[in-house]
Amino acid sequence: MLPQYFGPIQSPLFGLYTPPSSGLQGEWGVVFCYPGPHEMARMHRAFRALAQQLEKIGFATFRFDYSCTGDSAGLTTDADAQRWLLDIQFATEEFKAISGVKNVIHVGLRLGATLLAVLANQWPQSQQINYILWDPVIYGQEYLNELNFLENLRLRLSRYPLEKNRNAKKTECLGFEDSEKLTNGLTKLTLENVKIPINAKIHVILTHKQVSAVAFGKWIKGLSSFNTVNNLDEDLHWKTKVNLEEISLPHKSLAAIKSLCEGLRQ
Amino acid sequence: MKEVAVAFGPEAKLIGILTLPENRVSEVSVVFSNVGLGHRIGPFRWYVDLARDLAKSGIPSLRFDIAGLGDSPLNNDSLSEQDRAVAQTILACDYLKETTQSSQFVLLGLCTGADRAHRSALTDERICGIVCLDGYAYTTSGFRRRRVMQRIFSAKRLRRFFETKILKKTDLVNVAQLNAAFDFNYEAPKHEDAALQLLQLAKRGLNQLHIFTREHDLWFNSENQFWEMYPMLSDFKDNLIKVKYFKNADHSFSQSSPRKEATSAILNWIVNLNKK
Repeated sequence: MLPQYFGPIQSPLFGLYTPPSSGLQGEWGVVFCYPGPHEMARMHRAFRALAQQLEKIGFATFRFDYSCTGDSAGLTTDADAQRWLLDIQFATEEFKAISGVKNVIHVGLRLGATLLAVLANQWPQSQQINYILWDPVIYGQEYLNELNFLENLRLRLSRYPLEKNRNAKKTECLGFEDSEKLTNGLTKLTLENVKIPINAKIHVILTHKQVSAVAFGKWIKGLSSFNTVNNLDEDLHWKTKVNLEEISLPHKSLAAIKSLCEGLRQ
Repeated sequence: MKEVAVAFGPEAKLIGILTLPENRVSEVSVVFSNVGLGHRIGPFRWYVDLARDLAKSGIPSLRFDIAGLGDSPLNNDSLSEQDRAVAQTILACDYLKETTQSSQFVLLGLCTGADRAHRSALTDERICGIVCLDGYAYTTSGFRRRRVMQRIFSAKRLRRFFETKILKKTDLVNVAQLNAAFDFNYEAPKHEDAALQLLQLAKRGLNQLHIFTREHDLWFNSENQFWEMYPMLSDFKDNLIKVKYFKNADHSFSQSSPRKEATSAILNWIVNLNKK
């Protein structure tokens, strides 16, 4: 494993490169695009587990933190989804440079999947798009509403007097201070009109029956015969999880992603 | 301030971030321990901010993942989880000594991290300070008296009673079930053992900052309780041992206001430690 900082010198990003197990073919690699910070803490362990599983079957992997999140440079209050789009591109270039892989699969969860979909039309034409979009967020505003709902529920259910900022001017949500740029960017974000290149290979994984996500999945599937939608009976409780300290390890989703990566490689 | 991603320990499998100041002010460095199963950034990225603030005050630090947590893979040793955590915390100190020429260390941990800080301090005399957030707590007669009064006069409890018993509201989430989900069990030492160990550490000259939150209220509900639990430590009060109680904070400091207060308290304490 190689932990490192990469990207712009003035605001470096943290990345963790894991080569495939020794002796295994390494022409294929996977870049993970994390969900937003509010959902990341409980999924970090799942991404590590996935990287370990993929390493054993010959995939190099790269995990990284978007700017202003995790170990990357920047303050939480300066987070910006537009900047995160660039971060994904930086991470992909960095991964290719250190690993030497020729084919990259991007696995994005929630907001990470959304950013990948938005980026679909911005990659160089020479790059084959291989995406696994795991529970993508379809409407940014809906996502923000869900986070705010959870924050209010959490405050209401607390058995100790947390500050009741839900009634005052809201400045934080689920443990993180708000970033104006991020909120504004997400408000406008929608996958409704996103353009997907005709040759893109996209697999969508849905773990809950969100109407807009199902509609998005159908639309993606209709674009090309390469695209599939996988419905899993494994609710990750994106809209109901109020325990901020709980860790998720969704075995069905991880197994499905591993299998889809193998399928894309063949 | 400079952040360096590092891999150290056996087979370089312990992953961490060194945060280095531009100008060192002393030979003390800080080691952060994981919180529960969470990774090295701490709850809500708190440890990242804290490490950067420490660096601005001239103090280097290392935030790292114990094997099996965060990004560090589980190794094949035969140690118990607690022993492994202690052994690797000592490795982190060795690594800091090597890379920053530090000779003394402060360990900082929340919940199970506080347990690791305590146990590591018992085994390594280079550790000159521990910051324990919601560490060991044992109920006392004072605790029980205060708890009864708090329950009688709890507005929230009264409101919930009114909503569920009088208005028969059925859409409320089962609070008992929710609270049960928050419980996190680990094996703390027996009260008398913890007391003797803390006394031993204080006699060795180890500085201690014990911080407790309101959410620890099943075991701890007043700053005075620390001295009720450990009367034999009273000679060290406000000298070697400081206690702070954050009555507006939850266990993981999920809200920014108490988190900033705690950050300031920890920073001041560590900076003053440097001046001793």
